Amino acid sequence: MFFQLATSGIATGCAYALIALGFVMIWNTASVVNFAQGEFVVIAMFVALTCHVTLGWPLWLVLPIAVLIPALVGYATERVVIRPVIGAAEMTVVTVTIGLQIVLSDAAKIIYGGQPYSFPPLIEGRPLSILGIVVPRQSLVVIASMVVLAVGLHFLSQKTSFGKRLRAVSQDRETAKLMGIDVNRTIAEGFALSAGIAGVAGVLLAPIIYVSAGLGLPLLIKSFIAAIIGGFGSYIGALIGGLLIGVLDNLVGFYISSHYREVFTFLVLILVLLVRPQGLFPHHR
Amino acid sequence: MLLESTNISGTPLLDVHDLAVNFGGIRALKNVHLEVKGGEFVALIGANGAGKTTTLKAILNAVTKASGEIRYRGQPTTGIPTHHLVRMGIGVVPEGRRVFAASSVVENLELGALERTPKGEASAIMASVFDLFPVLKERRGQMAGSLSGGEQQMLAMGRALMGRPELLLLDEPSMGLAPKFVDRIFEILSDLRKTKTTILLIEQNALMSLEIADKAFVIEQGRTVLSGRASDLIDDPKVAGAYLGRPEE
Ligand SMILES: Nc1ncnc2c1ncn2[C@@H]1O[C@H](COP(=O)(O)OP(=O)(O)O)[C@@H](O)[C@H]1O
Ligand SMILES: [Mg+2]
Repeated sequence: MFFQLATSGIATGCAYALIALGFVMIWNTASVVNFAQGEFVVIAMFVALTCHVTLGWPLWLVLPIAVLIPALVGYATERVVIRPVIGAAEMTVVTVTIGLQIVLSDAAKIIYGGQPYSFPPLIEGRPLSILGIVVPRQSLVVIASMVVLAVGLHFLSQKTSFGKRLRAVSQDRETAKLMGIDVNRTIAEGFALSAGIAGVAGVLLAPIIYVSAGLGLPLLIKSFIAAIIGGFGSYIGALIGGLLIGVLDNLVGFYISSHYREVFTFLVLILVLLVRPQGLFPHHR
Repeated sequence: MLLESTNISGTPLLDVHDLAVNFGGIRALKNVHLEVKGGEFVALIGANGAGKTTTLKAILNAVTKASGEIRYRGQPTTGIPTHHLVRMGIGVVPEGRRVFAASSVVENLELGALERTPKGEASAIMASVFDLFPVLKERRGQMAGSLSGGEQQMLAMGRALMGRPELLLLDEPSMGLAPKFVDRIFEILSDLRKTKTTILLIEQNALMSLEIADKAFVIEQGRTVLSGRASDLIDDPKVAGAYLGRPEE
């Protein structure tokens, strides 16, 4: 049973990990703590829900759209809302992203109401048995997607011109300009990428949790904590932190009580901050 | 070839005219004049706080000017963003080196070429940068943050050269370095001089700068107070009194 729970915990953890990854990406490139990151996940979920469940479009068409739309929203967000405050006092930036979070989540509530919706599995079929552990196919899809995405992002950051710009901007915005890099454009593209990653997390999570307009904030908090546990700023830390929280969530939910999930998440956070305040993978700029 | 050739013609490559810059209510630059012609090696010297870095930032539109005019290749630069000026051929070695500490030496050099040099040519230029700075070749895979100050300075210079700049601006490349490295940096500068790269060297180290420059401008409290041929300024009693008395700053 333990392994069963751990495996499905890894699946949710993968989604948290991706949200945390995007969150850290925005922090690294723009020094913006984006409290609206969870809303990008919700946008993807509702786009998928509307296109697939309501309109009946096939998944192969719906999934790319559900990732692309939050990416576009992320891009527009940067241009319109974030850019004017980049470099401003931290509280100003935080206030703006909190405002954005409220606006986006209330917009979702106005359109879709507060009720939960269920989303069909991305893949049909009976659970597989691997080494005696029964694993739902959906969990495998989630885990595989996250591995592919993580490898792809690593490649993107090391090999492509966009990745190189993104890393330069993350390290030193002023000096990046001296390389001829268009820093504003790079930050906007970083937002789009990060929101797109959140979108992937959204379509992966949709079938395993109920989709609802209020999900953005709890998802944000989970990924925020995952990022801190991992060592704020570290990508690998964000991934490991997300997985850890996913597994912990599931174990606590089963062995103790699902009411205590949040409590234990915060307990782990406090513990990490006490024992290893720099996080598991300390990040140096 | 490492650098784009330039001709010493009539219009200056860089022309800074009557520049003033304010920070809040404080006037940091009042009256800065500066002129760099293609192929020249020009030194801008002045004490700590005189306004050298602010002048550089104004040239790059990284600070807003209160008044005055800056022309690059005869064209006013007002409103052109920093990264465009770099793409137009201004290479910068910033104060304090500012290498990308978490990237390797090679990655730093690649960033210098990223927006300026076609992919196919970057490796040839990197080879010539390695010729100029053999230590960078030895340390090519190392993180830039783990290099010594002098090595980081060489990396910052190599990184700027990777963009084949038409005009190279250097802000106090000898600052904070051990004497051995200071000598090395000036040796490299005089090597670059031979390649006819157009250079504007900002320095507090007046003596060494005047020894290698063609022309120099002296700035004090935000004003250009003296200018002329470097060889004349070396013998100028005002310069000797103010800047050459203590060459070891
Ligand atoms: N960002 C800033 N805000 C306020 N004052 C500044 C700023 N940057 C420079 N200054 C002031 O402008 C003057 C010139 O500084 P700077 O150009 O850095 O001198 P230098 O490079 O010659 O040492 C100094 O008095 C400095 O304190
Ligand atoms: Mg300075």
